[in-house]
Amino acid sequence: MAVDISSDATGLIRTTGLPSTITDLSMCCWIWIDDYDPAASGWHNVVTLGTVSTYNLWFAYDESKAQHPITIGTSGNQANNMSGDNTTGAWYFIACTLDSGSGTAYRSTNPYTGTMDSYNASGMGGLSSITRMTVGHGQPAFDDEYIDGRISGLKIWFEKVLTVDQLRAEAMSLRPQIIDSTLFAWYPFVGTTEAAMLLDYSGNGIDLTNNGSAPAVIDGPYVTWGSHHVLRIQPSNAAYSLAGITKDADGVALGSCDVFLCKDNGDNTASFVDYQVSHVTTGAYSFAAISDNDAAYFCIAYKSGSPVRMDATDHVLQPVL
Amino acid sequence: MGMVRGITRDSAGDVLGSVECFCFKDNGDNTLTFVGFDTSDASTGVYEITTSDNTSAYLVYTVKDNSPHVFDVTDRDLTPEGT
Repeated sequence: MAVDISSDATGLIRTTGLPSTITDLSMCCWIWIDDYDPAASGWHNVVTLGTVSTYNLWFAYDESKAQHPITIGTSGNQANNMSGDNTTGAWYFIACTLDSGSGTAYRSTNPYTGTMDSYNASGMGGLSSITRMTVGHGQPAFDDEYIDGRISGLKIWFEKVLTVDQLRAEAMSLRPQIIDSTLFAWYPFVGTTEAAMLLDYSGNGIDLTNNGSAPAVIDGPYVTWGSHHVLRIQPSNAAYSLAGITKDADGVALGSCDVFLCKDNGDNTASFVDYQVSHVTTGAYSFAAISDNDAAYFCIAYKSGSPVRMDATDHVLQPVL
Repeated sequence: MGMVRGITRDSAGDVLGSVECFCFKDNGDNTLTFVGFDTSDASTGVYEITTSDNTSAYLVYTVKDNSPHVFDVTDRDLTPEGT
């Protein structure tokens, strides 16, 4: 699931319960841009921290550059020179960290096994006098700096700097993998009502409120909710294939799992397609030469032992061309 | 003939009705055969799927397209009731 922020009138905001000063932080989410709306000036904000009239931090797309680089910025400096296009109509996993004045922006279309692009800049100061957090648009003085697209699985940690490997792990599920006192807010953006959709699931009660037109729930990326799952699925770049890694409850590779690939035929029947044993060390498995890429597939995995462990994916997996 | 029967529940153990249940036979040779489908009762969560025997091993894959989707699978050693 994801929240559809499709116009300049749609924005999410939080004005209470925010720390007034922050030295380090980490944020990540999945994002889909429908359009780099030229009406939005300067920035397409994912998350900002600041006041009604200023930004203390912006995690955003830079409109001033043709490739719309993912950016983390503070009043001291910004990291906004990541190469590569952030195209519209595709899901990206994006993240940023602020580590003692060193800010890094991250982006990947396949954070599981693919490249995690990044760009770093130093000279970013800590944050102070924070009174407002926005999601999907700017602070009131810059409310035209909005996202036209979707955001899913937004997670925010204060006084915590996640490593690249930790960020990759966060990309694999909507549920945070690092849950400690530094987890400030977690927005899976699920629920059938606006109030339910904007809840903070971290337990800290940092719920968002709608600051404009009602946002809507919309389809999200193919990312599992997470929790006890023994396997994760991700698309690969191979033709007509599905690949994944079997993992234990702690997110560590669990090898030698029996993995069954099945197809949901959409008529209350299903078909067995193929079988593999995941790699003994890496837990990797890959089904290739699947006959179509527009059907809905699911995987079931078992690991013999005492107790037997088992899990399944959603029935919406699509092999990629 | 046999019958695989159960109740679909959520993570808290409460009945979750109207769940799609796909039953497979584990052929014991690293293949599965789809044998039947049922949607669990909206109120009781009960599902029943007829099998061709009551000696083989079966599994049930379940999914509900809620928001978010929820899904799970049983062990692959279910023995159907005799009917």
